[in-house]
Amino acid sequence: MKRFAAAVAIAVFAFPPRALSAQSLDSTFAVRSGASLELQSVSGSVRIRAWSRSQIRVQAETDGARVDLDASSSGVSVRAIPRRGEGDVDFTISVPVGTPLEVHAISADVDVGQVCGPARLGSISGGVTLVCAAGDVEVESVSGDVSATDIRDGHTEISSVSGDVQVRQVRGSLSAHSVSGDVTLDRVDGEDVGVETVSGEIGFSGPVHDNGRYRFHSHSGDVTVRTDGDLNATVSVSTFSGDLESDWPITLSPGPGRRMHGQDWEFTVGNGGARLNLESFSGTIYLRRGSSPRRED
Amino acid sequence: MNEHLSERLSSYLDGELVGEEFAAAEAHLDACAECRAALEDLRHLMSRARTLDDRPPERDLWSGIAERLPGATPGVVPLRRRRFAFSLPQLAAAGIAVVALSSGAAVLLTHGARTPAFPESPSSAMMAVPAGLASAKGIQSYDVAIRDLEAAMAARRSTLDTATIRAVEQSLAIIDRAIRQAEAALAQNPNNMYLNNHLAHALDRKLEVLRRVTSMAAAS
Repeated sequence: MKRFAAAVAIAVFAFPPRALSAQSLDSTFAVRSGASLELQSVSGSVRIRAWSRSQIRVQAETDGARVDLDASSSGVSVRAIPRRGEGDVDFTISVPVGTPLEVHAISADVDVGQVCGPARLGSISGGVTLVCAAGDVEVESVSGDVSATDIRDGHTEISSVSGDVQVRQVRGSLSAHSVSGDVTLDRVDGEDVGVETVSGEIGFSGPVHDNGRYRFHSHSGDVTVRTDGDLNATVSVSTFSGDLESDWPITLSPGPGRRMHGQDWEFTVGNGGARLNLESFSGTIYLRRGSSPRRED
Repeated sequence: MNEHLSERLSSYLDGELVGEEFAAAEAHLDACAECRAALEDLRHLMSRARTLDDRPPERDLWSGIAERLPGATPGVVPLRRRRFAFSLPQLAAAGIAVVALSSGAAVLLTHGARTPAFPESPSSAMMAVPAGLASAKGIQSYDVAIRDLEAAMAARRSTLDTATIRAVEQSLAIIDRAIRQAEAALAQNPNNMYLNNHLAHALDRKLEVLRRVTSMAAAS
């Protein structure tokens, strides 16, 4: 085991930091288990996939930008540096399954698939797509669309300022934000879920756990919550000029916080275990049975 | 009708009124819809506050937060043990403060880089808040933080392409519109806690967008 570790260390340190300006680059680094990948890019594209080797392979096609590579015991760092106004680099990178990723780009689209580790991915104007992650995940863009699918066992933070946010098959806590984009959460299974938009619409489908907390807030967009099976929740609904439509019977019970007050309702469904907080200043709030969208939705 | 309960509402809620004081408060609440509504708002506010995590902010952040929050003193007060004593006019301010603290907006206040103002930055909608609102101090805190972040974003403007700048400005305009609508609704319903909270959320969104854009531009 010691000999193996030494061999890996030698392999890693055999590649000192270097600067390359070629049109294409293809470098492979042996890495220890748990080594991370950090990438900073400007424009072009970033594609990261998992493979079965204990190596990180970096392939890059550049039209003049410089690519700096740095390998250490903790992982591989890749940085694209524009030269003479040329910043496009198309990266194709292979990493071991579970590699922690940190990717920052300005206008490059970022596409990560099947790595299934923790990830922090951001592109200012590019889109970001993540399929399979475990642990804490952060996905963000300013003007691009963002999506995350198959996320397990951690906290997911996903946001775009003007793009749409799509999340599918998430198990764990989740926080999603947008300003003008729609936020769609499909098959999200968590006990702490929060979504906020300003003008976008919110759609949620998934179980509402009895001890869970769920917050869906929009200013002018509709909020639709679809749940399978029984619903046991204390539901608070707030709106200024919007409406509420519920498939579940609404009974306003007496006592503090249970009465109708302006456009502020609180009511209990089932045993009232979960906290479900629904707000839309001027949009319609839908509380639906079943996970499938209806035609009128 | 007797004078409204005002400051005695929180004492009533805390069970501190006894004997004749308690009986008088009960009688007044029976007869006064306005005080009943205020009592519900106060209960709602306290309920929200109690759901906040006790986890204190990082110590190094707190000094920055304390500088910006009116009346705040350094140190961390566990929210669950905090006694809430609000008079009627303080309710709106309290709502803003609770949301600001719970949403992490206060943490954002520490991120502002003091750089020259960005002349093309969207005008701050908070300046239009009616001066008589009890939440004006809270609004001013937001205003300062937003101005700082707008300046920080301006300093990073060259990092962003024109399409992104346009998208950000459009998004900020959407938030400003939401803020104005919330303000207009509040002008009609000044004691409505939802509207106070909603305004605070809209301000939080603006802070968050500015912080996010600035930090992403810096990271890239």
